[in-house]
Amino acid sequence: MAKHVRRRSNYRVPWLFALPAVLYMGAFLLYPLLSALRISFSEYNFVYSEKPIFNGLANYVQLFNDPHFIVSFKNTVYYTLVFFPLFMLLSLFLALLLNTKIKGTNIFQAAILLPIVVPLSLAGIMFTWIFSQDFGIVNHILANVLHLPHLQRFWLGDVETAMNSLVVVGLWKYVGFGIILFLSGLKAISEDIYEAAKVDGVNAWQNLIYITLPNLKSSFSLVGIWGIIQAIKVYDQVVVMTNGGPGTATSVLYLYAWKNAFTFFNMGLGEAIAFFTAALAIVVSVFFNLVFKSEKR
Amino acid sequence: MPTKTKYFRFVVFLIGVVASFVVLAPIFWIIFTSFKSVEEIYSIPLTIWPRQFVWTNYIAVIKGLPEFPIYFFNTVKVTLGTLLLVLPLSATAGYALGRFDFPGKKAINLFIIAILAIPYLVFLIPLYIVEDILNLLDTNLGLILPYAALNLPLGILIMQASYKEIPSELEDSARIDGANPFQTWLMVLTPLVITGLAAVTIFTFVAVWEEYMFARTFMLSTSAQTLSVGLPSLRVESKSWAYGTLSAALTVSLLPISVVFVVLRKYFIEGVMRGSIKG
Repeated sequence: MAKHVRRRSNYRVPWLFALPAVLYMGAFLLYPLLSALRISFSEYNFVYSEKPIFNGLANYVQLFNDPHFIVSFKNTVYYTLVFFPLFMLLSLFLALLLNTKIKGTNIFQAAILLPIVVPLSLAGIMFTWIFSQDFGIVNHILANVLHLPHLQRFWLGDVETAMNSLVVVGLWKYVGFGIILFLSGLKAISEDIYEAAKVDGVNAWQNLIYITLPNLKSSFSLVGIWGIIQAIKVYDQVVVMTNGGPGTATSVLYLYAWKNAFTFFNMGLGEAIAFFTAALAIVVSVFFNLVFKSEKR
Repeated sequence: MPTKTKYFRFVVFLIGVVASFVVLAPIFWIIFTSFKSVEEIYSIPLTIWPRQFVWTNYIAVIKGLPEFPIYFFNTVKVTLGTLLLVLPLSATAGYALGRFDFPGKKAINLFIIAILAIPYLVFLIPLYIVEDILNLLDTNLGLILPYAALNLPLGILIMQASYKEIPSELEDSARIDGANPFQTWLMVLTPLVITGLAAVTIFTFVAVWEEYMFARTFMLSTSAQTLSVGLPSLRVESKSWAYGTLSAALTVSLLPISVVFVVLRKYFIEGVMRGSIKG
């Protein structure tokens, strides 16, 4: 009897504590999520339609016949393919650097991680100026410091270089996060392993290949998923720097979804693109998890 | 790593200097630009170090940009408002999930993980429609409510892990002393998870401060805009957008947060580590 009463009060207490957050998430996350799903299966123009009218998979079918969507998808894939390997390499390399106990790492850490607190949209303004054609520092350095004037370009206005310029901004902003995630993995590796290796006369390179990297496997999966998702949802600097141009050269999924929803007020189509992006992010995360798990055993 | 040869140290140091320089160069370029006269900014060949330091751009921000303080205070208000929601909600839910087993716990955690995997874009359209109906667009509350929702899942995960770490003897002895669960939570356990709360604070702060898409979509009038969306919008509006003024505005916006980050970054790094263990 006493046991029974105690257990029931055990349920009541945690539920009372969890309830405010659960209600809040229900109202501002679960309800919108279900509503979003319904909209993605509906014909819904925010200006003309009274309310969403169910039209099944029509939005999704329309997407795959829409050349602008295909281009945005391809551009997002391109951005990811350029961003992702560089993001992983730079994050790992700099994390290894900052993990050494050498004088100055504290200052390097402060400097290298600083972009974390610079909003991507503001970084976008900075880099628009830096990449600008006539008064940009990049072109200035190419011409007057490196004496390579033929490499000067209208970086953001040139189909060839616009997307890569956006990748540079993304890397500048996000590598700091990748470094911290790798650092947490590095800190988790026990010093004892290195001590034992030292006794065996292992050099730094062998340390890295045989001890550090294999022990970072779960970090690779974590940083990898995080990095790919940042690439798939690239948006802020695109809006500020090119807004999809020149032409459709930097139109990405998030941008095209936004334009459909808030320029043309075609909410159904916008939400269909949003769910396509979500599915992409989830599939890639699951894939990454599986790859790193199967390698483990 | 244990290697301690002089040569190795020197190479590492050199790479550190180069990397720091590359990362900081864009920021310094903006700061230098902010101290140049307009003629110097648009002169060819460019100068890197200002020939003469002038304050005209900063004066232009103070006198000619009445929007700037508005953006700034909106950012402060939205950030504080979001924290006011996220901190208590994640502390209470974190306590429940971290220290109890109860029916529904698995479902809540599963939902949180699912939300973390879904890009924010999915929530943008339905929340816009709701806010349009409730007249929340162009108000600070219209940003605070979705920001709190989007930052809550990670906050709960961090707090859950923090409460879980506390040894149960403490809770038991408080119960024997006659404390009710609420008192136990507030007076005994919560003082022990201050680092977790600090991590949630820093995370939420950075996320709100840099958010662009929701702010851009929900806040169309200047009176409600935050810095991350206000400054880029100025560039479009303004007739002949002067990079001198813009650089000064950027420098003023980024300086306080940079100082805070450099001083408190230890907590931020710990916070990411905490969040990443579970997330």
